[in-house]
Amino acid sequence: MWRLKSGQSLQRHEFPDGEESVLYNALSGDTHLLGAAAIELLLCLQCGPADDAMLRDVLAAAMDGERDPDFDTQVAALLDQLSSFYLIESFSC
Amino acid sequence: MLTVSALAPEDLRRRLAGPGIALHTGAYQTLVRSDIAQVADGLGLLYADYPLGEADGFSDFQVNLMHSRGLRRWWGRQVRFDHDGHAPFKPLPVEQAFPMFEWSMNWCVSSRAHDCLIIHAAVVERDGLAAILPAPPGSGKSTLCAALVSRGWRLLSDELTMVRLGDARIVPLPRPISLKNASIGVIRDYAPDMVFSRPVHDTNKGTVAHVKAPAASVARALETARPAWIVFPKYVAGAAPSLEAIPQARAFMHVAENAFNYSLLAHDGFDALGRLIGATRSFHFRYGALDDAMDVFANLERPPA
Repeated sequence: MWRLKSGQSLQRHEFPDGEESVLYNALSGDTHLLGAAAIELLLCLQCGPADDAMLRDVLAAAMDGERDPDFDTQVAALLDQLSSFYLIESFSC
Repeated sequence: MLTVSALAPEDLRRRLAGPGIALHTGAYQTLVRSDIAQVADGLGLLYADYPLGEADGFSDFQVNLMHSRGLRRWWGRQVRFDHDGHAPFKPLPVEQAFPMFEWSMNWCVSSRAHDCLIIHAAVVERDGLAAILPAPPGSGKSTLCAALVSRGWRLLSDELTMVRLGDARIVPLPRPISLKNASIGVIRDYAPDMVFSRPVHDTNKGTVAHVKAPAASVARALETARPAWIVFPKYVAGAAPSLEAIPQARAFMHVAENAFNYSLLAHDGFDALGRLIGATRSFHFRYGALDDAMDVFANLERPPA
């Protein structure tokens, strides 16, 4: 299971000229340049914890249902990256 | 209000060596004291149009540039900078006293003035719209800034772009433009009417000289400006001019890397920079000739009102 790290407010700036956003990390003070997929995952987790399958479904729906052969691997890598930024964390229920 | 030019050279030297002069540079007042002739001469030449306040009144900063004591008063003379009694830098040869004054003024603002987001960038304005030029050393930022100013753009700052936290308007800090090495000759040729300080050699930046800010820019030093463009310049000899748009999120990251106090300001810095980026369009700009650069800047697309 995944959840948003406690204390993260997902303060961000989105701009009309592209899909990338900048997000302020309330825990580290870092600023992250994130793509649309990362933002989608974070917004999903802001609503509550979710498992890998649920997150994959959310992302696929946001991308018009397309899942190429590497989709699952890419989502897993993205979750690991967001975890390394201390934006999200995994836990066992 | 009295300006530096109202003081005769001997009076200026006497005041600097005594109670000091309270120099207005835009929103800030600095009490400057110095017993060094090069500082007095540089102030008299390049700060002639700047207003003076009361030396015994409140000043935002206190800058003292004095001869080092002991044997250094007679052999290998040095200048020592201290700010409010603290000496953050090593002494330099006394010949570098005026550049040290300029660097110390920059240091005071960039390390203390956290009511603004401070970007390491030049900024100029025309017809109410400001163009910010962030750039690492050696990219030709100051050369381009000097050229634009010589062609009628208002100088807001050569080194520190002050972005007001509440509304992202640009707060002017017009001071002499610092040029290095070959750029000194380039601007002398391009703008022969500009007033230059005597070049100072063998600094850690090479040979440096300073160009007097136009009186009109100094007179409007309390007039903020609306930011419209962020242009990352890169001089490449012989290159045709090219202007490449930068996506706003990426421009945000580039500017953050060039901001002195972005991390210090935390949420406020993130908000201010977001407002700035949202209000502007950003570009990478390559150029090989100043006239080409002038044309490109003259034709930058105006944002909606």
